[in-house]
Amino acid sequence: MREPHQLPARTHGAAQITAVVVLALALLSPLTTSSAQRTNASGSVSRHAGEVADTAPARLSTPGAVARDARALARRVGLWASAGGGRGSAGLQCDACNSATQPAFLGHVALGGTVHERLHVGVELWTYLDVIGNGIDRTARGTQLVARYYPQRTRELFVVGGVGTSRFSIDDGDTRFGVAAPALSLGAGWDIPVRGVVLSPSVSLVASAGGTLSSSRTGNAVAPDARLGLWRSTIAITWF
Amino acid sequence: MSYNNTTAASRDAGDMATDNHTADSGSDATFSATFTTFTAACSAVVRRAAAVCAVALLVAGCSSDATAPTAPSPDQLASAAPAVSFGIWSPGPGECSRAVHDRFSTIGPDGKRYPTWHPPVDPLSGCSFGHEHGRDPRGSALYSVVGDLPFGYANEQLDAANLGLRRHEDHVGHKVEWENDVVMRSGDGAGSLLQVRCDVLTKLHQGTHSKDAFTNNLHELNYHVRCTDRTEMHVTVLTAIGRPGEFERTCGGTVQVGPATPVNSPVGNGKRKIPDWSCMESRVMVGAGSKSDFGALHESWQTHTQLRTADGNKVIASFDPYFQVFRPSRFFDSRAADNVGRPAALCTEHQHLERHARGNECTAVLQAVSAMSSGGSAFTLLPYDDSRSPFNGVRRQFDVNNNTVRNAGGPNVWYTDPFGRNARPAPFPGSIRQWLSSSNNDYGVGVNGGVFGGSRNYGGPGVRAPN
Repeated sequence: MREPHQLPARTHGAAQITAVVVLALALLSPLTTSSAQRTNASGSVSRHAGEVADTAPARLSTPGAVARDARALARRVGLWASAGGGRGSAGLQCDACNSATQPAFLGHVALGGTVHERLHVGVELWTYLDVIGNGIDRTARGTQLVARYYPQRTRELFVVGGVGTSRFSIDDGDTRFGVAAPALSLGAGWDIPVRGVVLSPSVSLVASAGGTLSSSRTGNAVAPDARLGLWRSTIAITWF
Repeated sequence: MSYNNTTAASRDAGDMATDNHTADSGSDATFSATFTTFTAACSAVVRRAAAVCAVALLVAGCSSDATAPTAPSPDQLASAAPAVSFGIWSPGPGECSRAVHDRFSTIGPDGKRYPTWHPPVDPLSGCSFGHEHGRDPRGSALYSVVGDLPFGYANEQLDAANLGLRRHEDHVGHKVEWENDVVMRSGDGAGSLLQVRCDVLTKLHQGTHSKDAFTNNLHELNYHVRCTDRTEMHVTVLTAIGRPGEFERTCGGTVQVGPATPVNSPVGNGKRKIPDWSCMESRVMVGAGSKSDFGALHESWQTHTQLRTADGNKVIASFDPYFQVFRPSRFFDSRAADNVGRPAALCTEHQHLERHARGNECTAVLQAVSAMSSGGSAFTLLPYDDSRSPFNGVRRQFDVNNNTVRNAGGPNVWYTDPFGRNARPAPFPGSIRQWLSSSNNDYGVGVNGGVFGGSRNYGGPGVRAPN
């Protein structure tokens, strides 16, 4: 008798971490270049002493910068856009499911507007991708209306919630099992202002229930009330 | 017999959430717990709505017609007409009386009295029945749904089916097996997402002491399974295992024995793998310094059963459990009377030859012969039905394979002939009531179970061949 099957060994852990770091640096790179660096006529890069203090994250906490950015945060109005990435850990639970959770890369983008200086709303798309190996992928993706609320007007802490839909599937190229269902999300984060943009590390939980897990190959339902859980730990950059 | 349509749906989701998952890491476990709490809260509204709907359905009269079985009273048993299979067992010297044995009976769906499972030793008097019927079905999670299994009901229905053949089997061959919460395998691909769990309760008539199975391919099979993906079956048939009149040799090849019995037995899939003298000669009869490979003394009955509709011959259910017996009390030997060779004899009859059976099993046999001879008489042979013989078939295992239901939108209750054919929603003469979930569990990946029972020994004081 064989042992109960186990998923193939992870092949992407380090690669995904690297991808997240590269993504974060890529997102930050234009900012630091535009705000902190000046390219002179000869093509070399020079720095202005006064600007350097406002660029590196370690220097954001200088009293002057905090005061200025706090004031900027308090004026958040108009449209905003956000993009981020990080780690997600997804699991599917149902009466006939192997509900083991698997950490993998997660990315998200969002676009919205400010209803009030303490309340932002928008639409978010997110994707979780777990490349298991041997041609097997686990994916989860969702679309949701999100609302971000700042309990205190001049503080960076926010809570975020969303409502929308989610889809989860595992595909080996031959057979795919999938489920789609309404989803809710709830999380919290912290804004770190960086000269007109905001870096926002956050954690959140996305949960869906009421979907029917089925096989795309035969169309037959495996289990009703399949429940997806997704733990997100990401960092995003937001433009106001 | 009626079957409660209680399904895995009634299982508490929390129970499922606490199942073992070896792939969980510590942080994942924490996440999983958080997730469980969160999703439970999120789905509360959905659950409440479902509960309201369920109540509404019940009020609307949509509840199942199935009810949990109740044990018949002594008066009911006494007044029931006996089935052919009832009362056919006869005790050996020193064994329980027939009256004690026949207390272990139940009422079949046809109102007749049938024998059912009993322990090898009577719990009241302490006497031995000399045979066993396998695992106590009362431990099965399905027992509350199925009740006592009437041994020989399918055989009895064949008499009433007017199909031109009769087939009744002995008493000792009825063997019960069950396993709860069997984790089914569904492959390493996309199927790795699935973790279907099933409760399985089965009974096969698997006589391994006589010539019967050399030519008879029809054997009564009760098969009950209930899984977490809502797959559920409660089936009783005379399953045709391979072709009649022949069997597959354990060591390879087919042995043509003779005419089919009954002559018009249908041909089935699967096979009955039974050892014969050639297996014994090559694997058991060994020279000095070697040990016999008694693993060759092993029967594997590989069943493949289907329920087919009368209209279109469509397969609405199928299942392929395998039943294996270690150290049975027979092998096929065309040189012997009735073609039945006895393994115990291999330990004693050929002592004068260089090649003969050797090993622990034979040590037990020779010790028994020696003990018999110490009384003054000279014994050279241990009777095959002596309780000291290790060749009694009390060790078995079964494999759970391919439980398939293709009954989406169909009725739960079907009536088939004893071979599982001509399924229709209404009963007919000789039909057997079968119960299937209204579902289709073809997911494009195989869902198979494991192997169970190999470490169990169903023997007991006095248990002996024929068993």
